[in-house]
Formats: sequence, structure tokens, C-alpha cells
Amino acid sequence: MNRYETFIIFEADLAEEDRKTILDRVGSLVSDSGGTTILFDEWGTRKLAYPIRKKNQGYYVRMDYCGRGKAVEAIERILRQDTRILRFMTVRMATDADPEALLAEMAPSAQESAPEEPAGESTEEAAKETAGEAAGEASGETAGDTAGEAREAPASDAAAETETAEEPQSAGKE
Amino acid sequence: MAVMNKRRFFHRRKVCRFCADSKLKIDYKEPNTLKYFITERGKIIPRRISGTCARHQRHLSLEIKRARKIAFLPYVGNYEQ
Repeated sequence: MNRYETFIIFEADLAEEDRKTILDRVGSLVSDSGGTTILFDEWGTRKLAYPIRKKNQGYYVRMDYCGRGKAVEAIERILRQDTRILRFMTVRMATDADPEALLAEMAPSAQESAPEEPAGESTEEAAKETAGEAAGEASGETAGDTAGEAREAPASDAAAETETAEEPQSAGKE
Repeated sequence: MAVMNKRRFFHRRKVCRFCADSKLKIDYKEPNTLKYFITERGKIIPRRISGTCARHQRHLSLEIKRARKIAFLPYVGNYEQ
């Protein structure tokens, strides 16, 4: 059993019920083929980096599930036929995944993150920000700091190199 | 001769950002991280410029391509912000 992740981009102006029916159908396809759906992660409406079918916005849903290749085939067939879906992409996250273990892992974290989840995009941004901060004391500073360090360190290195490099040459000439 | 040799390149030592910081993960779901590794035109910045190591560059290019497919990053053109 593999763990897959499918992103689905719906038209942004699609009614919620329509979206629900499609997602329910996709979810049932997973369980029919003996797989397990771990979660539907709705990212909400986002601006697309480039227009798809002349649309600049899309409603993103991330689906996390365990199943076999057959399940992916079935899901993608449905998604391809549906004109209300702008785009989809499936990525295999892991092979030999254990759905029960994943669900058990998700359960406590889902409770903690439950109040944050409705915010959607803001949580992502928050996550990124914290990641950035953890990475190196605020992303704004890191750029300057690392650049400064990078400039300083090599300068001394380069100076050392040039010195060492010049010696043999001058020695050779003399 | 010595004067001519004085003009030499400054090699700025480049460090792979992903090797330096293991918390920084390469993921197509995080276009804000990937954004630093594409040009304004949306091209993937080569290793010789970004300093990324071979292993991480391979991973990076795959994730950038995924992000492009799902419209997190542009295939071509300007990505403002």
C-alpha cells in the first residue's frame, strides 16, 4: 500500500455542494479499492501562478490517502472527465505506508490544529513564518546576515588564496 | 606579468542552503521556499549560481516542476511579491 497525495484545483466559483459531491465520490473510490482516506485538506481559494482555462483563481483541495495504483487510476479518470476541475496532480509520498499508523498519528495533531485549520491560508503562512524564524532568526535578517557572512568569510579565504597563489608565480619568474 | 595576474576571480564560497539547515525542507507545497531558487522569469537557478549541492538541486528541480504543474509557481513569466 502506498501513500498518495492528490491536489485538486476546482473552479473558484463552483458551489460548495458540487465540490462536496465530487470529493465524496473520490473518497468512495479510495475505500472501494481497499484504501484509506487520511484527510481532505481544503486550502481554499488561491491565486493561480498562471491562468488555467482563462481562470486566475482556483479552489485547492489536498487529499491524503493510502491505496494502490488502481485507486489512483480510478480517481484520475474521474477527475479528468470533470470539466469543473481545472487541474489535479497526484504524488506518491511513500511506499509501504500503514494507514492505521498514519491515522493514529494524525488524530492527536488534528485536535490540536483543529482551531487553526479553518483559517486555511493564514496557517500555512504562519507555518512558513515560524519555519523561517527557526531557520535563522527571521527570514528578513537571514538574507542580510548570511550574505554578509558569505562575503566576509570568502574575502579572507580569497585573500589567503591570492597570497598563496602569487608566491609560486613570483618565485617562478625570479 | 605580475600586473596582469593581479586580476583574478573572487570565489565567493557558496554553501548549499539545504545542507546548512536541515529544517528547511524542499516541498512543492511551500512555494515561498522554492521562490528563492527561480529567476524572475520563472527559470530554475543553476547550481553554479545558487550553490545548492547536487543532491538537493535534483530534489529542488523536481519539486519546482511539481509546484509549476499545480500553479503554485509560474512556468514562465513574472511572479510578483
